[in-house]
Amino acid sequence: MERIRKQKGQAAVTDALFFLIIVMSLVSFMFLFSSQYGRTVGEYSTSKYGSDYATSALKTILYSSFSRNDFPISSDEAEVDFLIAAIKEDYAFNENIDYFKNDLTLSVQSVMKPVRNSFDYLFFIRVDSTPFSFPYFFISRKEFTSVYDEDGIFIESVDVTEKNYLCNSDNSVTQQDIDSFIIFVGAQGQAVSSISFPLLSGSTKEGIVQLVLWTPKDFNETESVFEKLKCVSA
Amino acid sequence: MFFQLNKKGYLGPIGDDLPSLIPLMFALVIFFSSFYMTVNTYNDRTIDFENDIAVVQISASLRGTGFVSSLTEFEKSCNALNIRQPFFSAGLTELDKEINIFDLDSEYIPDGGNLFKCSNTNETLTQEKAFSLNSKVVSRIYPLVMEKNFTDGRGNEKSIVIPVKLIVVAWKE
Repeated sequence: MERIRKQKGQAAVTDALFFLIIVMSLVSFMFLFSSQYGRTVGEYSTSKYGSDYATSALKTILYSSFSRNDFPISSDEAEVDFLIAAIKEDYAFNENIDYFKNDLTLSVQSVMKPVRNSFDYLFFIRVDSTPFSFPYFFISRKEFTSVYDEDGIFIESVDVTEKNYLCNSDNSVTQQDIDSFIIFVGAQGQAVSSISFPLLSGSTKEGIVQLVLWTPKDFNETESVFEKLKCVSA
Repeated sequence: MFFQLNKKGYLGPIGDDLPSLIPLMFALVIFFSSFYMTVNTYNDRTIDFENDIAVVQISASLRGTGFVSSLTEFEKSCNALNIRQPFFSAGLTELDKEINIFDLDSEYIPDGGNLFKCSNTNETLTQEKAFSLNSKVVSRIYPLVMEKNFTDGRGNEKSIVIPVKLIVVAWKE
């Protein structure tokens, strides 16, 4: 008994190893905590910024003045009007947007320029009736192309190309097609506003204007959800 | 003889504790290193969130309805802000202009002798501050529309609504 009592130090290594296991568990927990802490808040912050930007951008696109006769907006010769008023006027003629389509595209691109490296986006006007349910539909996205080494094994660099499209080219796109595309890319922010289009007949058509932002996603033009949008290069 | 064989390698109670000190010390070093790293990460991210929240508050106040009709209205929105930390500088700039955040005062749109500027400090963000070890910088950009009144070459009063961008830069030193 006396001998065992004197040799109690023999168990110390095992105790230390158990202590090490406990510490390793705690360390694992701390690593997990530090990697996850604030992740949800960070994602929410990005999403909130996307939504705020989309809301501000939509207002800016709709309320901005523009020059109807291509003179600089602050020049004496410029015939200044609100872009949205010109768009409504354009729609009233043949229930489509043709004449000021280019001005609208320039305005959308200009307003989205500050975040064009961070986000891809789509902007459309939908009118709840025929013949043209989507008289304006614009998408700007980035396409990624991998450049391989001589052996074709390793990627040396990735080229990023910004591509702009006018969609609904054959007037066959449905809201469901757009919703599928938005789910596919994962919207980071979106804003919607209602809009009324007065017609020459005196009646009015109701519609919406929508802007959707997402972080650039790698897919090509043959992706089925994108193909359904019937896009052509702008 | 049997007792002697059994005691082979036995150094006594303290001598036998020595090998156990290696995993013990290793565990303690790992634990306190991880603890220090976790606390640092926690503090860093908390500061990031504080900056993010401040930028959201500042931008929400200055954006208002998304339409800025005059410098007076912009200053009213600015005065409603009560943020001491982090330091921030915010203002309206031209939409197409590339912004240098280290020289913001030269970027803001002037109106008379004043600028469309809102800040809680006289200090400016410098490259030394921005790239120092403990510094945290957050910037956000939002598009807005601003009413601009001017007299054209024919003497007519004109009012146009131009797109501009609101830039908010917040930093903690």
